[in-house]
Amino acid sequence: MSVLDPTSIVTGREYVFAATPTQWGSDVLVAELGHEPASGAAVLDGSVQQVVHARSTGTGATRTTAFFKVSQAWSGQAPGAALSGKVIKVELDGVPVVKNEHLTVYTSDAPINLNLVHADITTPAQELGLWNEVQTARQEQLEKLVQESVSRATLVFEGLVVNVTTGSPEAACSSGLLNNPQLGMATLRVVKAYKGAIRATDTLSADFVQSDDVRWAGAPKVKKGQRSIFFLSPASAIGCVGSTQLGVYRKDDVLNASNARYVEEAVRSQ
Amino acid sequence: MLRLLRIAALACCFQWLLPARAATVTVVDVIPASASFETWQDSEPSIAINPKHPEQMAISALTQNYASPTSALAPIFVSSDSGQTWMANAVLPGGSWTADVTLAFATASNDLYAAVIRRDDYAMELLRTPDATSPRPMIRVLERGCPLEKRPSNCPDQPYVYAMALQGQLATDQVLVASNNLVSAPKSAYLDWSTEAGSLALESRIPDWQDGPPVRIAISSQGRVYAAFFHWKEVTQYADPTLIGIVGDVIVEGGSAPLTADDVLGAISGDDGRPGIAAAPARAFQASSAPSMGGQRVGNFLSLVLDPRANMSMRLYIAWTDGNAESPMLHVQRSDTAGAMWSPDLIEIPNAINPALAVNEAGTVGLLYQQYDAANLEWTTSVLTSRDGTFAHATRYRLSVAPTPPATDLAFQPLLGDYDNLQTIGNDFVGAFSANNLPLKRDFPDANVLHYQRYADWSKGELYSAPPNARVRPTVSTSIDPFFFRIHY
Repeated sequence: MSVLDPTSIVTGREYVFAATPTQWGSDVLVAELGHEPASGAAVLDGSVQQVVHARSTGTGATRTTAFFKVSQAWSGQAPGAALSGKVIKVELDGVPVVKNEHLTVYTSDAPINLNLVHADITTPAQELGLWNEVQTARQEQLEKLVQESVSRATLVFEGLVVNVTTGSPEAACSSGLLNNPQLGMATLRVVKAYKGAIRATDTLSADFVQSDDVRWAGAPKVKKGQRSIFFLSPASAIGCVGSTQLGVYRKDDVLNASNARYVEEAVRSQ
Repeated sequence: MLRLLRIAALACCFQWLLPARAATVTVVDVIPASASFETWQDSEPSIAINPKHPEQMAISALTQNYASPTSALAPIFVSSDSGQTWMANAVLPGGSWTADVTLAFATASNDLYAAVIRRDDYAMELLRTPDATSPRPMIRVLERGCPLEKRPSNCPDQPYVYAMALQGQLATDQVLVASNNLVSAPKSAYLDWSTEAGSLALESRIPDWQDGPPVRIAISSQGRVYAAFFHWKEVTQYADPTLIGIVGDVIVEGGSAPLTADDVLGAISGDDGRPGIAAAPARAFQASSAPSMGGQRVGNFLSLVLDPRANMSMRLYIAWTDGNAESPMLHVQRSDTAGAMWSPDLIEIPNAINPALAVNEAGTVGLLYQQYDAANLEWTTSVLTSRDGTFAHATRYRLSVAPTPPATDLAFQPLLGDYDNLQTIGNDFVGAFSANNLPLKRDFPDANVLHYQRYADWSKGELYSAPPNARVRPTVSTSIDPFFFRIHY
């Protein structure tokens, strides 16, 4: 998938973006309506040109979108200025709108940074193809992520957190005293083993990061009762030289259990 | 007895704090309107002023790329109108936000330099752009990497960038980056510079574990370089793993610029003959890595500045915070002997962190600091200015008196920052700090000019994600924002 400069958008063509922004707002995003966006780039005024209902041939799910002509971009930066006069696709998120209605919408960050811009009113069939392409790209991204995690980890399993205890810094991790991960200990019961010398019903302990330091931001926090897929790596991966303990240290070391099929596929392929 | 005397002296000094005198105090929340939805913890700001075009400024903070949290570029904020308005410009490579960042403009060109800790590999990089407003990513000038087995704890930390013009070479800058290079611990206080890609371990003794995180530089127009850092002599670990006890010296070194490959800053020596003297010896303090005071970790704050006047080049000021983690004390001292001897405390400020010093063209010294009020759960950000350099008759400007955010809102440490920043333009004091962005005018008591770029309703004390005429206008939670300020005489 190629990256396209948002300012080169032309009327009458469809685009799928995986853009890397160089300035705020240069990432062109699916616009949303009706709630505070978690993340986004621009506030756009405009009017609804058409409402489209679509059904995915892959999952059968339905989605309603509006095609929205931008009259004014409040951000003052790309892509705001670039979007003036353009038509973008707006996810309605349950908010009823009608043709020709004037609205303010907000751009938002779609999963895996995959964004759509639609430059003209499309037919449902075209819309469907575009949506399928998006879904496929998201799935590919997740598969790649899981493959990397499986490859990196010593143990991979679906497990249940049965206990959590706070710990003290391990000496081997402590040359940076104030950046120390302040490792805690989680007791995990294996529900289903995917990789490594473990079996279902095994119980093992794993480190997790308790530090609030900025360089540990994003490290997974585990809670008693949590059921997830765990990718356990040695503590040496985070600078704990000489430690043989395994733990979850990176954001990608814990995955929602609903993604088990991706893990199974990754283990089979390695 | 000594402690009683010190408390008495403190009471004396605070009685002489004067209310803000006639000056225009401008405070601007630099988050752009287009990012009005954001609630990120934009802490730890630094500011750079282009000396050739002082209307151009840049501010950095631990800010995430709001437009794309998965981006490989983190933003800075740039102003081209003396700080009245600010735009975001995502130009820092290494992740959608940095693990640390400071900025400095060159003196001989319009180049902007950034010293960062990348989030992807925790390397320290010195970056450069010829145009702060350009959307092109900044280019790496220097790198101090971090081996895989040491990431992310034992890597370079807290890089602080400075630029100086090389005498007789007006077209050339020497850019210095002071850092705590934990790769080389225990001797971790470090200085890197751009010419010859030189580097220098500032520490000439053996600290316990490491040197303290902040390392600061002051550069004179006559070509002298001074450095200050915490030499940790004795570290005590408690049962609480988030707290350590430290006894250490505040070390000051001095040397001649430009620095060359085999340099040491040996112009000031201690009793042991090694480079650097203890400006403040054997200070006891605690460093917390978890919320300690008003949600902010404490323990390591340091600032060093030179008087810029040609006939006062021997005068240095130093400020640091020590003491108990729950009630730390900020100190300011002065040297009129180019760092060889230091005064007793000019002023002590309880429960105060993030000292940042600057001296203007008239010799007035300014001190930016953030003080926690445990009774009211508030952080007050102030600037003290002292015309005679003694702080005996200081003027206080309260830039912000803001509630500390609930502990549940803490995204990471530091809450407000391990530093903030104060600079000068002529006689004006200009700086950046981070604080709660609750839009209430009473929270900015000495601001004559107060401006939020993001959408705010000052009568309701509410933030919004959309402009006033939007049909749908959700409110936005308060958070920590970077603020620009200018005290103009």
